[in-house]
Amino acid sequence: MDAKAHEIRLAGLGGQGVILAGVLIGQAAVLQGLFAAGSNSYGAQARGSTCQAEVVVGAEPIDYPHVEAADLFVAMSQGAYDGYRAGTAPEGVVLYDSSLVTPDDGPNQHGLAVTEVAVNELKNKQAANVVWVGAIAGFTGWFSDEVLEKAVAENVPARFLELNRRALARGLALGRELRG
Amino acid sequence: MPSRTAQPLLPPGPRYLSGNEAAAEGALAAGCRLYAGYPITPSSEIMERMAARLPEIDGAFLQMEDEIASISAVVGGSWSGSKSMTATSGPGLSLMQECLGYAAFTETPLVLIDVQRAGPCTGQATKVGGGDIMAVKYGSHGDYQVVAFSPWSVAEMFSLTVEAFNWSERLRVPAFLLAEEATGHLRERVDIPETVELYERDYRPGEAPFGHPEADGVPSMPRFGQGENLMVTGSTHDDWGFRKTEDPVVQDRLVRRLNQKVLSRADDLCRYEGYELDDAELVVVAYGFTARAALRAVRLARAQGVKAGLLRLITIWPFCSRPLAELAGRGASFLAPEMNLGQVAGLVRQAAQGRPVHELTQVNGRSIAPRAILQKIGEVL
Repeated sequence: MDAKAHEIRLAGLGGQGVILAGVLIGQAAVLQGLFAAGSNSYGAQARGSTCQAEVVVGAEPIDYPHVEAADLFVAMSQGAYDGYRAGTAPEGVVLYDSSLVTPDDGPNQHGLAVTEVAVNELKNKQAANVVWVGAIAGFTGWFSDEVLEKAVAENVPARFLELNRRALARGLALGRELRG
Repeated sequence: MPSRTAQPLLPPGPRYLSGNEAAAEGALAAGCRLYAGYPITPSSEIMERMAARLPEIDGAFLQMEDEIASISAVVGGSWSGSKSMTATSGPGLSLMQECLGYAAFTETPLVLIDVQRAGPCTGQATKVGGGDIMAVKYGSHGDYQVVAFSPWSVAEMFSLTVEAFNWSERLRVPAFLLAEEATGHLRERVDIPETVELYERDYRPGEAPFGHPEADGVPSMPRFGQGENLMVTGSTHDDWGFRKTEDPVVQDRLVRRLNQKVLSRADDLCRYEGYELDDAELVVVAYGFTARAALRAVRLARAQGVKAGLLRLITIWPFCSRPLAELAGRGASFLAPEMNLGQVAGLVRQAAQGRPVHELTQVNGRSIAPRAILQKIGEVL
C-alpha cells in the first residue's frame, strides 16, 4: 500500500449487510498491520432505507477519519449509486452490482456480478456483502487471504462460516480478475 | 499515593473497536468493577459491553430504572469499595446533575462517560453534538470542580477512560470522559497496551475521611465495612462526616478545599498537544472529534503556505489556560471550531490576553468538515 490514506465508501439498502462489509474491511486492515477508521450512517428504518459504511485505510495513522471524496465507491443498489455517486473523487473508482445498478457514462466504473454469484452459485443472496468484501480485497490487493478469513471468522456466526468463506473466495476472484 | 501496574483484560496488540467498546475496555483495564446505568443513544454500546464483560470477572452490572437511580447506585458502589462508573448522553446527564453535586461534595470517586449528541433536550438522538462542555462543570449547583477529558480517537476512548479513573480516585472527584457520538461510534485501530498504570484509592486506617490538614489535601477514603464509623452526607460536614449545617468556618473551609484540591493540581491535569505551532500566526484551538478535522485543515493550510497551527485540548476541566496564554504572548490569534455555540471559545478568550479569538460554531447535528475550518482560516487570516 502507498503512503496515502484511501477512502472507501460502501452503500446499499438496509439489510444488504453494508455495515458488516465495512467492519470486515476495517478489521482486515488492522489484522494486516494497517490503520483503519470506519463509520456508518443509515436511516431510521432497519431495512430498505439507504445505508452507507465509510472506511479509511492507510499505512500511517489516519488524521481525519471520515470519507470526504471516495477513492473507491461500492454501489450495492441503484438508490445508493444515485445518492452517493457524486461523493466520489474525480480519479476515484466505482464498483457496482451489475444486476442491480445502471451506471451513468462516467469513467472508471466497473460492474461486478456480485448478486448473481450470490444467488446462482452460493444459493444465498445474503452472502453478497462478503462477496463484495472479497472483491474489494482482490481489486486493491491490500490484504492477505489469511487476514480476510480471520476477519470473517471473527464476525459471522459459525453456522454461516463455510458459506461466507466461499463468498469471500468468489469475491477475491472477481476482484483480482478486474485488477488484471 | 498508591499506584500499581496492571494488565488490561484484552490481550495486547491492535484491535478494531468502536469508541464505545474501547471505553468499556479502558474502564475494565482501569479496574472498574461496578457499572450502573440506563441505556441511551449514542452511549448504549458502553453499557452493552459492560453487561457482557463484568459478569465474566466477578464485577457487578446493574440496569437501573433511570439515570437518577444509575448515578446514585454508582455513588453507592464507590463507597462499597468498587471503582464505579456509568455512561449516558445529554438528557441522562441532566437527570444526573443533582447526584453529581452530591458526589463532588461527598468526595466520591466515579467516572461518567458522556457520549454527546445534538441537544439541547432530546434533540437529535443519533446525531453528533458537543454542547455539554459547561453542563458537566456547572450543571449542579454551588461551587465544585470536576475533571473532564476530551478524546479525539478510539485509542483515547480507551486511554483517557483509564486516566479518568486514575484522577477520580486520586482526587476523589467525579471525572468525565466528554466523548461525542462521532467518536463513540467510530471504529478504529486501537493498540491495547501490555500494561496500564493505575492509581488505587488511598485508605489510611483511622484518618478522617472528610478532612485534611492541607487546604488542598485529599483525605483518606475508607469503604463501608472497614470498621470506620462512616457517615456520608450531602449536607455540610466536618472532617469525620458529622453534619455542620450552621457553622460558617466548616462550610467555608470545606468548599474551598474541595475546589482547591483540583485547581491546585491544574498543571498536572492539563494535557494538550500542539501541531505546527512554532511559527503559527493563527492557532486553531480544538478538542474531541473536531480536532481531527482541524488537524486535516491545518495541514491543508500549511500546504498552501498559510501559517496555521493546532492546539488540541485533551483536558477540558480544569481548563488549560497556560498554553493559550503562552501562544497569545507570542502574538498568535485564535480560531475555535466547536459543535456548540462557542462554549470553549469563551474560555479561550479569557486566556488570550486580548488577542483575537474567532469562532466557528456548528450545531446542525453534523461534525465540522475540514474544508469548513480551512475556509474559516482563509477568512480570518
